[in-house]
Amino acid sequence: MTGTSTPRLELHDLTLSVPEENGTRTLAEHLTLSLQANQLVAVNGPSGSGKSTVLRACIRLHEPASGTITLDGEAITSLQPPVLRRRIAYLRQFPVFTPGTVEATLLEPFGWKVDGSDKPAKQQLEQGLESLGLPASLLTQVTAKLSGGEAQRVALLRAFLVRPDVLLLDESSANLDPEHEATLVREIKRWVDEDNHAAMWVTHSRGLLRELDVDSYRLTPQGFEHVEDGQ
Amino acid sequence: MTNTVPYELDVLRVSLAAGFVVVAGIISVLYNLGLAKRLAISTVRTALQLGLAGVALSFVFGIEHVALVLLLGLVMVLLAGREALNRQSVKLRGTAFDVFLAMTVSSFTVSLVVTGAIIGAEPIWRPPVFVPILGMILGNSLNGISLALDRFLTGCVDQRALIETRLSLGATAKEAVQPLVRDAVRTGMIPIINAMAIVGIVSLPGMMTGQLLAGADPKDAVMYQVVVMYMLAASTSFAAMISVLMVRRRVFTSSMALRQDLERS
Repeated sequence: MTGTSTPRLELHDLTLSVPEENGTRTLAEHLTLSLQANQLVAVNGPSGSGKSTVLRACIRLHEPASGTITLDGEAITSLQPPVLRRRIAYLRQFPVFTPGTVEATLLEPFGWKVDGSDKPAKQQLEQGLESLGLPASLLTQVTAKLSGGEAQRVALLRAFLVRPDVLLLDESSANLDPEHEATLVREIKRWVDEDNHAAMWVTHSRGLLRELDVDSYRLTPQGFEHVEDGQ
Repeated sequence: MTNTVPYELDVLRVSLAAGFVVVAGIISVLYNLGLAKRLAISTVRTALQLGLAGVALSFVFGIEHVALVLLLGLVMVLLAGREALNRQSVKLRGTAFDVFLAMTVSSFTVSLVVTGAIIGAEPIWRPPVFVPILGMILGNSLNGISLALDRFLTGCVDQRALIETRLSLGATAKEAVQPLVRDAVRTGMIPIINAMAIVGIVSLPGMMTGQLLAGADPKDAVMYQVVVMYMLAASTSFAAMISVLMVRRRVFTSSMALRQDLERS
């Protein structure tokens, strides 16, 4: 288990670049950030600054040009990618689902090799939906008919169900109205407070930053800048 | 070789058949389809390619040497593979090797089983038996591979978000694209399955028609055609499956992420 001094997730001197026609373009460098147990941090920055790429690098969907990322002190490159991705859940801005019902979508990750646990019971799925302000009857609905806000919350429940240690949220409240955004913030804060969880929330919404009321960093080409209260 | 064709065709009679293409060309011009030039080129190409094939086959059939049959077979595989690759809308480095390997393994295996174990030709590589069988198989494998690969690779591009979502939830690379693999192989096999469903009812296949025109007993022509349909089904499914499974490993990086440079050309 994690010691109190070892960050759950740590980015050290990361350089992120993306391929271009004539080589690569550096998005940001000297990215260093620690995420402690029971900590939620917010990251903001302009579009195209590399916010999503930071999150993708944490689960190796993007390989950084240089630098290291550790999970509980262990380099993420030493973990099998499926194992790493079960421990760090990544919620993309626009969730997508395999065609089928909400129930099938929620259970899909439990059919894979990496998972040795039992599938969650139907009652657990229903409770999960209700805790996020969704009706239990949604289980039988096909995912193609979900609204943007419903899809985002179903994706969050799916992430919770695989029991990660760290949650990475990429503009995850962008499709939600203020009431449901407040529910989402409450549920994620509650989750972070349990079992040494930690979360990083990328957003460009000032309203959400105020609502979150947590440590906040701005992503710049030269690294993370801590945002003081009121900025 | 003795000529047993009851109605021999000379160049003049074949030229008369070109009249059909002229009719098609006139329709293209009248309706402004813009196909007249391509039709003309294709007409000439057909005659030239088949003429050359006839010369090559006469040469190989006359010499009857295993090395020559093998060489001809490999040239046919290379040409078919190149054609399958040209039909891809997503270009990916390394797929040429996968396509050639899938074609070689599937076509040679099935051809040798058919000529040796089913037809009982001796030697197993006997040119007048082995080469036409290989040719038919390659023609169908080409279609199977090109359809299956195109479906798989365009699927990887179009469904990037879904594949990455599965990966980010702990799926292995294989699991993340499993539905796409299934769909791609199925797509590659649909033409031959459709052909099997209508053969003898709506269509009389080229090989069977050729045998009948050459004076063969309909019973023998049918027996051969049944064997041909079965072998085409097997070789097409092998070819589609092997090529997609080989290419599957190329669309991912070593860290089980979908390659960033995967896009439609």
